[in-house]
Amino acid sequence: MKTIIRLVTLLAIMNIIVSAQQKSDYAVVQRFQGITKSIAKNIDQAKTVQECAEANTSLDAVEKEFSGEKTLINQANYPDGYDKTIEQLRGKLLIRQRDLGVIESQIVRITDLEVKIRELSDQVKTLTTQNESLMAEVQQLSLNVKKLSGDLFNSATPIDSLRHMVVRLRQGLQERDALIFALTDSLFMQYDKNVGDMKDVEKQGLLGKIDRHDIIGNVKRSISDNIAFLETTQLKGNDLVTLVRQQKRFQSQWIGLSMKLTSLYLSGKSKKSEVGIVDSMLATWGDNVDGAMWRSLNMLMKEKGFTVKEFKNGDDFVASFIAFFDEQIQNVNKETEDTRYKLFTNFNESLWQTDLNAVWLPALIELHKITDAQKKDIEIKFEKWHASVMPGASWLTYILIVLGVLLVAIVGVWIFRKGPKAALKE
Amino acid sequence: MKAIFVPIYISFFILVGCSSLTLKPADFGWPVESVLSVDGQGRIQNERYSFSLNVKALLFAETHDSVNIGKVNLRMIRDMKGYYFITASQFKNVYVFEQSEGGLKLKNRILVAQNGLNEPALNQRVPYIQVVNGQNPAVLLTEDGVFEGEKK
Repeated sequence: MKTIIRLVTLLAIMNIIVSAQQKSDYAVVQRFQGITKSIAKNIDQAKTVQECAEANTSLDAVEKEFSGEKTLINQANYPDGYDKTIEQLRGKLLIRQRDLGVIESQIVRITDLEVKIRELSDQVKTLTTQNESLMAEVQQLSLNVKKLSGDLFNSATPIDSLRHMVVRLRQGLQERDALIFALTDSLFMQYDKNVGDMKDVEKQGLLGKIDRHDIIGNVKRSISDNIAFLETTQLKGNDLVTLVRQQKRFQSQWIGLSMKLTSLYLSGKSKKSEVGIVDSMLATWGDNVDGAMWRSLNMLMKEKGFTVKEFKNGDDFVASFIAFFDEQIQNVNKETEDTRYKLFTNFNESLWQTDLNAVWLPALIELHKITDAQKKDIEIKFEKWHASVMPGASWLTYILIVLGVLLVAIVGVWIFRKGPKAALKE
Repeated sequence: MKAIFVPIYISFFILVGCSSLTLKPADFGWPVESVLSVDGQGRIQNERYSFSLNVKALLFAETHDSVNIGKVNLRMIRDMKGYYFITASQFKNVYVFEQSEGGLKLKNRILVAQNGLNEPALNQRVPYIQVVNGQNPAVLLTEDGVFEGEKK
């Protein structure tokens, strides 16, 4: 474990040196020597098939990284050069695998997974950097827009670039969240057994990998980024529902992972507490995203001009709406039929059909905020309100009625006059 | 007739026998620089090429300090002609030496950084020696000085 940490630190330091001295041949050779020495040490200390696979992947990575410097290393890496060093390490690894009784097919499968893990880990790092700069841009742009218009995401906000950036950032965050759990799955898949069935040495190896890829740190970072995103963007409607969905998905994935981690961290109290910290961060994210959702729904009602008692959870929401419908059905304010009909039409067209029935009610059920029965209650009340209002008579209706009466009178007179004349002719 | 040719033959063989024997072509170049730390006595030791050298005079020439020499890391490379190029961090110059009896003799002192080198490195770029200085543009050297042509 310590060796692995030392290796990672060494690689990081070497990376810094190389990036500072891009063109120094000496630094290239030193880096090659440092990495190959560490790999050799890891091979000597390998006790599991996973550690052998890791060394194998590291060797592949070295070959890939230094293929362009082969000539230089062949001349400068005294006495073995490049080719002989790699060849010796491959031989050493083969011997170690034989000693441990590792089957070739096992190593191939686990090496494939190790390659995938490294790719995923790199992708997580890249996305983290990308999201960081996007978040900074979004925060800056949001501030500017707020100063100009006072409100960020109303329909009049003319900043398309900000909207576009917010969409990109949201996608980036979602992609990163998914990658972290894919990375974790791949780590566990390498061992192909339940944590309880693992040997101590395997548990230590897995823990080392979890630490090295900073799984808990990445999970924490995802949660704080999502919270920051929520606070910065103040999204509404469907966008907000997507965020709530994302939080729920993340939470259920974390529950699966935290159970495994807890059994892995049985001996380490400090590590175990990390799981608890993530739990509480996740709860904060959940509260924030729920709070934002209810605020957005309350705001929607106000914006459309309907007075509904403020609600902060699913039950309150149902109670407020049923109270609102009851008020309308019983006509508490003693409004005229015409006013009531207009109010209903307005509610139906601008809120019920566009937002409530189309987006929010299905979403609230999906997110387990209200039950099917509660939704049904709201729908029944809505229908009752519908049935209780009659279209009021307008001036056009009166004109039509008068015209109808006149028409009937004219036709009647005409038939009455025609009748005596026909009798005289006969 | 014989009297004329005999001295000519003798002079020819004498001349051939006295002329120096030259082995060419040669490549003395090191593929990569050596980074050598100076010990308390002002000595460096290169295990790969099996030599040791006292560099006190060089350090004094560059820094005017022959006391605090223990922490200096000298960077040294040999070009294909056999000249030694030596520099170090904070040096303003690259020193070019040629082999002499029992030591190295200064051939040239090339000014490469007015304010001193930050992160120097010497690379073999046949037929030149390249001086890398952190993020600054690299400079190509020969034993005579800075190569003013195409810079790599």
